[in-house]
Amino acid sequence: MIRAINLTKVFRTESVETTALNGINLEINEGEFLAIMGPSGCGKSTLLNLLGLLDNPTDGELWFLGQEVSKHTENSRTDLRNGNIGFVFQSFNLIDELTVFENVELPLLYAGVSMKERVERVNAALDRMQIAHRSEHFPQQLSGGQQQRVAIARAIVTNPHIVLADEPTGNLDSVNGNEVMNLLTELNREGTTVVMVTHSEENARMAGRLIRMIDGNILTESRK
Amino acid sequence: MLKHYVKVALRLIKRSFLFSSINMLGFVVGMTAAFLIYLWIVDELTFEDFNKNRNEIYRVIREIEHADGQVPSTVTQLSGIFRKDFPKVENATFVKYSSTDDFHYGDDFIVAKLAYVDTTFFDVFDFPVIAGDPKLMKKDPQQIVISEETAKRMFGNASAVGKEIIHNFWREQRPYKIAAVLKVPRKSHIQFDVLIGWNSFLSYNKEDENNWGWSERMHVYVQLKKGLKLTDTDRQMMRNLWVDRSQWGKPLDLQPLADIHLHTTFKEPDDVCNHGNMQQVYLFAVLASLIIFMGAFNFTTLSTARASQRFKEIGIRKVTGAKRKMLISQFLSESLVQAFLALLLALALTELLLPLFNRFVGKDIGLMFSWETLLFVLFGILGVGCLAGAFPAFYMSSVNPLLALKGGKTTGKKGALIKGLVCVQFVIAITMIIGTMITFKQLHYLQNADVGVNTENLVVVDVDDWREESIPYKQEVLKNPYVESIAIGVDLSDFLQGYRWETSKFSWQDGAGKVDSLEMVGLVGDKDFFQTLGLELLKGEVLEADPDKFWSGAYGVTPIVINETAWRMLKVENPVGMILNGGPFLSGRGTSRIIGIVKDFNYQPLREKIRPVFMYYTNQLLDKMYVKISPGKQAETLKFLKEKYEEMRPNHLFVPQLFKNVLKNNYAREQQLSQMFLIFTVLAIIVAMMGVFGLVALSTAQRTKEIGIRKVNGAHSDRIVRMFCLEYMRWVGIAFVIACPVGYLFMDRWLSNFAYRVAIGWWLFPLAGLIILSVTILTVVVQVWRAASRNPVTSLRYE
Repeated sequence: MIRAINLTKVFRTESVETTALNGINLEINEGEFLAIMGPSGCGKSTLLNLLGLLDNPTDGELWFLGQEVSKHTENSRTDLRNGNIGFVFQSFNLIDELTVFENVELPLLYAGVSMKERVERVNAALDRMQIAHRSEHFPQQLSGGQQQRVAIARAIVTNPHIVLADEPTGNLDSVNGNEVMNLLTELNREGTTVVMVTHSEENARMAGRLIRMIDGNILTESRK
Repeated sequence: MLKHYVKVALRLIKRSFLFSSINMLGFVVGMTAAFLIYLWIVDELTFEDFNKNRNEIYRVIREIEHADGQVPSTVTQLSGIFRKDFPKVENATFVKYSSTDDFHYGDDFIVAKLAYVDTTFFDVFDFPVIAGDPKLMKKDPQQIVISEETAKRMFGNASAVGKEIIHNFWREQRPYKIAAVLKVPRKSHIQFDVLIGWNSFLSYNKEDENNWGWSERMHVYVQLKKGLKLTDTDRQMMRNLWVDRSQWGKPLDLQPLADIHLHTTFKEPDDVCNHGNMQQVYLFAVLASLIIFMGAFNFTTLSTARASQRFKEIGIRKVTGAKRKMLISQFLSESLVQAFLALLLALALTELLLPLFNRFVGKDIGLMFSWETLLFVLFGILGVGCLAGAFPAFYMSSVNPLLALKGGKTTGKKGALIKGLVCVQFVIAITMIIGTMITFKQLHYLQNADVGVNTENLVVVDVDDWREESIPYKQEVLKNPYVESIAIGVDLSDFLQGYRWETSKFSWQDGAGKVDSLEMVGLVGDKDFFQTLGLELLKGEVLEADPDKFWSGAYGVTPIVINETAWRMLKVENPVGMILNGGPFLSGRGTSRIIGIVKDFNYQPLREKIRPVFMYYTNQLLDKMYVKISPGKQAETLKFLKEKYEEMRPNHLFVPQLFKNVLKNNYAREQQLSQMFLIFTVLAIIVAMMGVFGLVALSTAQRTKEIGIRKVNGAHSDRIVRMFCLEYMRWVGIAFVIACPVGYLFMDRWLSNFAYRVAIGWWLFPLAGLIILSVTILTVVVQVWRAASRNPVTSLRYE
């Protein structure tokens, strides 16, 4: 599903050049649950952003669903992302001005889905995340765990092939963190590919495959 | 999607109420100002629109010899010729303006502006009828028409139609019956209180029927058949109508009725109230656009400066599938929503301000929904919304989603744009202050300049149709110890336009035996004219006012006193005693003898250079009595003058005027300009300061952490305030440097319209800069002080 060949990302400012990814080779197959671990600054979030088509690599090839996408423009990456990739962030990233329902509805709105279908799909996603009773509330009115469930609902509402999660439990207490991990595991069991960046060994153990990174390189790779 | 955009926009306004209010207030003030100017411009452009045939009516004008080019006065006979000889002409008519006369109904008196009109007058012009039927005038010369205002003055709320009133003319009492009451629209160049039929005039003055030379205050109008336009061939054919028929004839031209208000290039006679000026219309259109821009700039600067607070949202939207153009649409719709709300408020504010605005500009504009208003509304929302929202929309939507999610970054470009726009606002505000100060300075100069006439304690009394019989009144009044002197002479305050018979051509032989000539303006005055008006005699003697001598020809030649300008142009070292060929019109020309030279004085508005003048005496043209009163004795002396007047001239109203006020009225156009300038400058400053207020509020909010760190490291509150002030002072400084030459060039050009003008004065420039600087610093200090005096621990924790 995703194949990275010699993937390199270099950040340049006027005086400093930082190599965040140093020729990564990686293949992710449909239905996998991959966890990425490593110390701060090792490049794991950068890798996740490249896999999620949020950014272009400096060098190397990136194949997504059979297309080479490393040179795509922002607009065509957006097209490709839409409906194929869902994102979950550590800090939830919900829009404060929108209600729970509207936040989840957003990807469908941008994809041009009809109103009737939007309502059905948003309600289904909220039901699945057990947060439907809060659909008219604004994000600030929810607990962290609830907010992350809304974020996951938003990530899956388009039925994406892959969900990318960047430290999804980082801002949550253990009870809520476990709940979120259970949701991701369940998603994966139902067939969605999940790639998760995490600092938690415990969370990493729930994934089927684990890679450890350091200084922009893959250090080890293990499977359950 | 649109619903989503609008919903988000409204929630955003609610959430960040302060910034949204500043954004919208800028729009509101800008749009209100623009709306007021717009209404004013529409009003200026729609003069004469009460006439159904506005586009078919033309005014007949004629060429005159001297530099002024044209005047609208012709002769009544042309009206009949146009009707008879030109198939294209549907109708023709004329107005003959007359003096301000006394009318009475029972014991009640009023003074009213009278005009005589052709029988076809109401077939051509459509003055709205309040009551009665103006066409009755056609059949019955005794029927007259009065204006609504005159009816109110005379009859209060009672009906005027059918009532008989008496016109005091000369020594006669002429009875008339009121046929109709009309509304005289402000937007009509023909203004009157009472209209009397020309046939009635002729019944009293039979000899005037075939006078081809009498064009004084006579204006002829032609109405073409519906839909027909005047071609160059038509103009050629009409050009010599008068010349061909009379020795007094002059070449003619036709001026469209709709052009009279704004496109008249010659000086209008006083009868025509016409202060329109196309340049002023352009000027205010530019002002309106500038103020709208300023409001829009506020939106642009604040929205752009606030972009960093919305980066997270932008990132999320991009990650969840929003393309750039969707975000652009969203941000544009936000500015459109704000522009729409602002427009509603602006309409309400305009309605509230209109009475005040009308008082300032002397109009009666109302806010009515028409296609023009709708056009403005559409332009208001779309134009201003897009103008203001475009940059922030493109800027914000261009941010990389990854950077956006991390809080984005500030780029140098954005900062430069914001500074640039704030600078532009300051430039506009400073330039407008400079402009306002200079227009007021010039106005003050025009109204108070030493015109060479002593205007203090000078009262003007109308003796237009009393003439030499006013002399016993003069002698009687002089017995009062507080009356210092009295002169009778020409109506100086109204002396703005030289008719044919008011200028005369003089010729003489110069030293080399060559014939030289000079056209001079004739002014009539008696011997006390010089002393009473404070005219300074340079050489020779003043006029001996002896009517008998004048008419008996005892002088042999007409004695005249010339002014300094005429002296210069004569190029003769001592012209006293010099005999010139030519003389005043009424003396049958002949020859004149210069008996004295008077120092130059401004007998015309200060827009004009002083022209050569000759002064003479004739009892036929004594329009006004000038009474010089002792200082501080005005009230009791006026009472005395009134009692004597009413006693010696029963059935006439005594209407005194202070000469100073009369002079002031000559500068109505300048007064209007300066007042409008003032209003819009104040609005521009308010808009600019709202922008500064918003930016400072934003940067204090964004720099809370910086303020905290500076304080932890030992900075005092006042130091932080100073830091912010210095930043804005720099911008004001740059704006000042740009605004000074712009303001100078602009105002220097405006002042070049005046023959007599004030010096611009260097101190005006720093003063304008200082005004903006102090208002800016005040705005900055008030806000920053609060943020700077906060406990740094709170600032840092908050951050």
